[in-house]
Amino acid sequence: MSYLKVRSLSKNFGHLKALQDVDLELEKGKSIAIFGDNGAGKTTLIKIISTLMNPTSGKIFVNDLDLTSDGDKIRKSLGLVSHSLFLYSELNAIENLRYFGRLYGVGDLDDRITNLLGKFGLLPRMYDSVRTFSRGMLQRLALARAVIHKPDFLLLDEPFTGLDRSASQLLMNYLEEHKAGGGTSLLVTHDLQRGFESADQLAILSEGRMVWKSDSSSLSLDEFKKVYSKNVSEGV
Amino acid sequence: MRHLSQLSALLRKDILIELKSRETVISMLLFSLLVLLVFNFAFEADSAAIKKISPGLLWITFLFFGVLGLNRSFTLEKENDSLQGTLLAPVDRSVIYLGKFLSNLLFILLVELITLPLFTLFLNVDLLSHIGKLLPILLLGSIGFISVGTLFSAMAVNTKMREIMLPLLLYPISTPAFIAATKCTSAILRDRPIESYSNWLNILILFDVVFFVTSFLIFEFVVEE
Amino acid sequence: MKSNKDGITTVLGLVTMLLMFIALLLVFGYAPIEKAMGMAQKIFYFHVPSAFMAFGSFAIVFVASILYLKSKNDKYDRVASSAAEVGVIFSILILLTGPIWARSAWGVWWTWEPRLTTTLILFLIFVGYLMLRNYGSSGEQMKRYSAVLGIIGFLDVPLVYTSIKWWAPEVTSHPQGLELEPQMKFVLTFSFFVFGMLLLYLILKRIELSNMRNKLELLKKDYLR
Repeated sequence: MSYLKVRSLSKNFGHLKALQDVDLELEKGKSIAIFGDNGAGKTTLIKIISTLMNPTSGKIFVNDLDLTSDGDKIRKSLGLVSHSLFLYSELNAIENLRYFGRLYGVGDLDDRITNLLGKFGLLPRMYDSVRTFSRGMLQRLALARAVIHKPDFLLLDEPFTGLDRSASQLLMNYLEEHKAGGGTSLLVTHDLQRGFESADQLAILSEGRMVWKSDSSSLSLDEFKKVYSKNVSEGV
Repeated sequence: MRHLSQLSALLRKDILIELKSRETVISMLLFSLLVLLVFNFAFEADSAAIKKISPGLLWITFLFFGVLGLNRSFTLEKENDSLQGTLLAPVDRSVIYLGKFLSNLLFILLVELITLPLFTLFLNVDLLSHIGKLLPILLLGSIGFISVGTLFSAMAVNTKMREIMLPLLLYPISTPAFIAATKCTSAILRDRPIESYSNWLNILILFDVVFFVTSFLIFEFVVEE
Repeated sequence: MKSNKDGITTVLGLVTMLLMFIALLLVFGYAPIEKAMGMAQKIFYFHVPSAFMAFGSFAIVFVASILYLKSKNDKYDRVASSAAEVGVIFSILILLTGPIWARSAWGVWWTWEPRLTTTLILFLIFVGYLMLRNYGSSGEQMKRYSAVLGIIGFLDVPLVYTSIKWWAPEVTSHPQGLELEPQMKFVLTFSFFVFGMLLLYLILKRIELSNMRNKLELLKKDYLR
């Protein structure tokens, strides 16, 4: 039974075809990494699956719910980690998390917040305005924000870009934990190595088309790198 | 129930940000003072003329600083794409509209209430003795231009000339509310009975209902991508 | 097929031009000179139909905007934006012919007469609409924003009209229920018909232009890569 089903998804921006006929299936508890160069349509795909953007045509089902009609129910189980922070600079760490936690209707919110701040090493700065945070701390807080409601389905849009070592490690740890808990995840990135290491399935997006799909266990990183350069250069 | 707690979260967030930065209210207040100052020199306070045009001056002042507050309300959501963070949560788009509408109404009404005594002081027009009857008009008039203003502010923030775009779109649309509110205020200041301005009150209420409901329903088309 | 369609609009344009000449001849040669107002009354045959066409255009914007938001079909966006442009042109005609009439009938260029003032406000709203389209972001977002404005703008019309009418009842000196001679009625009906054709022609031509621009963009994209 597939958890995520994407059926002939297309998205046009005026004359630009950002996505064309993308099909995708992902089982519950599995993770997929989708690779592609800039402008391949990765962010568009994430925005559509995260309900921020409407597709031009095609259907998406998450846990058998239709994305266009049951957006609200699906949003409950979605978490998006992106290079945008989605944080309010005037508020402190706790206030940010409390705001988003309330929107999701998280129970025992204060415990959950303390827990997350501890896990991501932000407890000492929890009363400081987010404006004063360093880049690395901002990213850790953004991660905490994204998972405040313990989402079943994690969407990650270039999550490693600009992450410092410790934040990267925290993210990898969280992904493992998420997977161990039966969580599903979809990652888009151009970082071949990290993506390859963290996912069960691989796919390549080139100029809005899904040009290649495989299991990560069936080939080595070096082989995958060759496949990637072959597929992506063919498209150009 | 879920909508209510989400609405309170949205509202609390806006109030908290304002309590910390105080940017919106203070800039509106300063602007209001400046407008009063300019009016004073333009019309020479204490003249009979200023008594006659004071209802109009009052509402012009409100519309002027109101646009500042409205512009700010979605600009602060643009930083770090925080509005998108809210859109990712299972919140009805209309509830997001309602939250923004209420926080805008709160901040703008606050500055309007502070403006009343300042207006009385600087332009020597006694507004405070009519305060009981003026308050409902203040509320209805503000609801009118803030309901459309909140919607337009969410659009203007994504255009190239955001500061100019909002008043350009908002002022012509708000003409009926502006005229009706001015007429009501004028009748109240002259101690006329409510019957003499009830048809203006009706226009004002009709404007509020039509544009609040339309904006509430149409807001989802403004925030989707 | 496509060229055939273009051919039809060209024929429509030529027929409209011919009929417009006939309308001119009828207005100045056939319709009798009004006793009270003299020659100035002739402008009436252009002023009144222009007003109907402007409101008609904005009604088309309203309907097409709702259809666009419902279906997200670009076709409706093209209809709405074309009708908005044509509506602004007809508003300019009203705002030009109105004062000419006013000057000769009442001795002033501009009066705050409700219909004329409503036209001015509508003109401002829809100039805002065109600006939003020029300064907005590209693509779908701008189309949604302008649809929202098209709906809100049209809903404002009755409120604007009523409020201005009540605002200064003494200014309501717009000619009411003129006694028209049969020849005058005939000429007026004829010019309504011609203006209707002009409206249709302008909107169709404008839509054609949008389609052409659309095709050009596609070709550019294919050849310039």
